[in-house]
Amino acid sequence: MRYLGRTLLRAILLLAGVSILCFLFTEMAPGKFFDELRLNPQVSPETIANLRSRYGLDQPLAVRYGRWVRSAAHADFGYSLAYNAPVAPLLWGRARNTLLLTTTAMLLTWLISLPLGVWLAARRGRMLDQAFSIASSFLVSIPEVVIAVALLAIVVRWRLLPLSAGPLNTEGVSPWTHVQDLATRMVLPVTILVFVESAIIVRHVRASVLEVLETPFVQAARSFGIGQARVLFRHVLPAAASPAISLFGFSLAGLVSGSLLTEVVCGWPGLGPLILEATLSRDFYLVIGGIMLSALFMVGGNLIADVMLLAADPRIRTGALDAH
Amino acid sequence: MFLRVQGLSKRYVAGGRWHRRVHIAAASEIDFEIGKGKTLALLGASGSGKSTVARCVTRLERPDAGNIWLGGLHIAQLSHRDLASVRVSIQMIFQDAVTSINPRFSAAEAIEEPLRIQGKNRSERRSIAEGVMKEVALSSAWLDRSVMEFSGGQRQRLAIARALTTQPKLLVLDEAFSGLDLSTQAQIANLLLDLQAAHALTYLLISHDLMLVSNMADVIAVMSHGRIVEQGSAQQIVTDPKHEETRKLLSSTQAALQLARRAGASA
Repeated sequence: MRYLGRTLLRAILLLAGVSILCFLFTEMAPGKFFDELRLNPQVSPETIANLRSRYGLDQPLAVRYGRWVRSAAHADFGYSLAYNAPVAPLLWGRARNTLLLTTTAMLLTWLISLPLGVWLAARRGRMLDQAFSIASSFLVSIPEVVIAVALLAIVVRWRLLPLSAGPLNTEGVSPWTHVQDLATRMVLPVTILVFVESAIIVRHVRASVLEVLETPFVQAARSFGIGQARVLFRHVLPAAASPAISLFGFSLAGLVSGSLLTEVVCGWPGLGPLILEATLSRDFYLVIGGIMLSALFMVGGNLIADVMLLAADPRIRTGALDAH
Repeated sequence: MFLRVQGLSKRYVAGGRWHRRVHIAAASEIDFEIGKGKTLALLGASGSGKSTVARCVTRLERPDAGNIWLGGLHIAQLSHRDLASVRVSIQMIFQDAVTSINPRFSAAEAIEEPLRIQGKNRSERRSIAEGVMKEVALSSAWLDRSVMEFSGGQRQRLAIARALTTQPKLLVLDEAFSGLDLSTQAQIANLLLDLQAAHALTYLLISHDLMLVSNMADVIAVMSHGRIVEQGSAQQIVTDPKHEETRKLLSSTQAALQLARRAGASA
């Protein structure tokens, strides 16, 4: 329980820290939202000053931060200057699309990576294991955007999928057509995300299973003549689970932030294009809102992973790890 | 002779598809035999190949060449399936008691593990576990405690208890005393001697500590670079070492003893 309390406190401090840094950095960043209006000779400096004071932008940083914290407490997270609306509902509409994409990709990634990692560990050093090791090093070292663009190019070149960008229309179409449309539009971004993430996760799962296979207690179990299945499920997998659970926390943490670039490349109407647009137009409350949302998922994901670790690893419960 | 090893050789291949293959002879032409209820110690510096011999005798590895007879049964080339009945009579105590027992298990789960392949039911397993706990001088009331709650010496007792469950004939002790303090080492050594007397157990003792094994072993075989370089009674090896390697091991243990004495005197 003390362990959980400590983790929770750390999470809250982390979120506060992120929000303060966000404010400092947006303040330091060159260019402000009304700068473009200034270039327009039809808008007088008085109008701009009025607008600035109306949105409270003429106040000192500390006052603005205080107001933002109050607004966050009301679940508004500030006001978007470009959309003329509170940030939270704007973000939530897009976050739903992002989550649809990333959750599907995450489930697929883990469904593929876990068995593949265990299987490769059991076949260590053979042809397939080495082939995968080379392929995954390749995938890990290439930036996500390059993989995304490459897959997009392949899809376009051979017309493998119908491509469309823009909002997901639900009006005037039957639910079945809507699902079909959604599914075809999701294929490419989901494939990109699965490619990128599973390369990393398979490597980690393989490494942690291999490590446990070498431990004396697994060798001891083997020396009793205990069957392969029991060795794997009773000894190896529970011990290899801890690193995998931490990694799963990272997967959860990346649900909001992990797909932003892919969304931009594939034209998926999620948070990615929204945040990019907001950054370019200096709509900084929206940017901060996006960053806070992904920080929230980061912290939440790690918190869930910590709770799962607590359930899976007796050494954390008995505090034996603290002694080391 | 209860255990007879003849011409045992094992080599490992390093490198592979992308590197030049190198064959490393971990053990070559190993010959020794142990009578029933007796102890043979394989002595050598680390990397001398003694653990490889232990892993071949327990058939965790298949030897490349040579014969191993256990009570008249030829086990060197037995298949995985045929080994199942043999494994019951050979048990191994591993180097590090703390890591050789799954830390997620309770003492009962750890001890009962070897009984699972014998198809014993729950209450049979429990009563056997209670019996062996008593034999290694641990309270059977501790059976439901997590392995994590036992000290290093107690875990080595648990490992011995686990090995005893199948009523083995041969115990292979691979550096079973390493990582234990001197008084615990002595206690475990005495426990092993008592168990040997009670059950006529045969021991194959793997160690680098000449002083420790000389008190327990009937015969000592000294290994160096994968070969047995000297073999004789414990008395003869300690008082009249012939091979350079044996003398080295003897002088290093004497140096350690002197250090220990000096530390004891200054304290």
